[in-house]
Amino acid sequence: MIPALRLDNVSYRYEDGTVALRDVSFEIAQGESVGIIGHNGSGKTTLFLAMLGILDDTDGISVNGTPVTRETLNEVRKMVGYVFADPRDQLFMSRVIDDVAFGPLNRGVESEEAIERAVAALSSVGLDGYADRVPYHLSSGEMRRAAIATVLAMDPDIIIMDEPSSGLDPRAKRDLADVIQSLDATRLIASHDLDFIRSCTGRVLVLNRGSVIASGFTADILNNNELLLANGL
Amino acid sequence: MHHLHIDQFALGTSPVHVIDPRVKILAAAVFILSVVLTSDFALVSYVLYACLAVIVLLVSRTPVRYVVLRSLTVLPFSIMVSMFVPFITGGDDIWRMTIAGVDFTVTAEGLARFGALQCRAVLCFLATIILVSTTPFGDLMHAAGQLGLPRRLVQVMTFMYRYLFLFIDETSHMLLARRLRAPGGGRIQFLKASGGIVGALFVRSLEHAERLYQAMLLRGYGGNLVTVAVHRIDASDLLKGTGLVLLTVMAYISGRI
Repeated sequence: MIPALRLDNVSYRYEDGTVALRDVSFEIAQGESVGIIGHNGSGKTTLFLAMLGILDDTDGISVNGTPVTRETLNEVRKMVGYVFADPRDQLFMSRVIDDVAFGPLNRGVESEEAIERAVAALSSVGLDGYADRVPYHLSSGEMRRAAIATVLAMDPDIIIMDEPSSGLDPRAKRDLADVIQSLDATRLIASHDLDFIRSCTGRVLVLNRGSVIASGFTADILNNNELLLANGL
Repeated sequence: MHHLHIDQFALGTSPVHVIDPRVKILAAAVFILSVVLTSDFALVSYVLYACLAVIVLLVSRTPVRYVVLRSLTVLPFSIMVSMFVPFITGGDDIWRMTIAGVDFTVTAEGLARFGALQCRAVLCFLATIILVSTTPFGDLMHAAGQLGLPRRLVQVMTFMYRYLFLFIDETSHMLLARRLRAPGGGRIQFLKASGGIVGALFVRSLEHAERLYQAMLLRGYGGNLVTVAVHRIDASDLLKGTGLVLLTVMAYISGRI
């Protein structure tokens, strides 16, 4: 079976010379829920931006067998949904429904169907009845779930989430973990919140200074205190 | 932090709320144009305009106090702009005084024009506030775009409205942080810190805008800010719109008879 994501010796250096990714290689199978853990600045967000084709000059990434290049960007972005670390970046319209339906509408889906998909996406993250709310008036947990709904409405094969649990209280975290577990898509979740990663992933990659240091079952990695301490976790 | 949005009552279901936003914008535009074109002495017209606005306001079930108070906020500005009108308009003198050898004369025509200007300002503002209070901002912008307002302008205004509150929050957080670390302090110190705050806000906004653009691109943005506003002008909208325009025109004509 073609892996959902495949990275083959991916490296990236920012313009100021900072090396953000060094020879990163891994595969993620279809439907898997994988956590990427690493301290602040370990390269998690850069890795995601590379997968989405936002960074130039990153070779060696393929999504569902399609290499990520300038020519395939549209195709790749249809397959991959990205939930930003700060939901305020994701929710930019005046009403929640407009935000959630934004993706489908841009993909050419008819208005009525886009509304249906948006309402269904909101319902799947437990935000029934929030369609006409102003995104800025939502609580942090609601905003986070609405941001996930904006991606779910696009029905992607792979969902990437950057620090989804940051700033959430324990209850909102539990609710969010339940939502993530209920998804069918392949999930890639970056966080340094180890309890959260334990609750919603089956496998974990440890990232440090742009390199993948370890990979394994979530329980094995998170119980290895030596490994975690050595990598700033 | 919670802010008062200008469209905080816009999600109602009154007969005014449900009118297609395009019809509402056009009706408000006709109203404002008529008010502006009404002569200074057409008192009947101004009374009828006010009655029409109040009826629409009552039907919309928007809090009257809220709308009226907001409409009156235009008065200081309109008074300031037109304060010399009673003195510079020719006509029958009703009051005269001399200050430092300069004659000041108030005329009846000048006073009438001054009063009419304030009426116009308040009525136009009233119409605009009723429009904004009964239409969600997003729908209003969408309709304005459909009526020919340039797409870029619509997008800039939509984002400005959406992010204004975030901007206010960030500013107040930074001001609070400054106050907590430097309670009191002189004016110079305050100005220095304010300079830093403005700089930080600028950089933050820039970074925020960049991430926002990425978020839009990832969801297929191609230059068009699409929304699910599926308004369709139906017979009831046309009827209400025509009614409002006819009543406005009648009020205008009444003042000319």
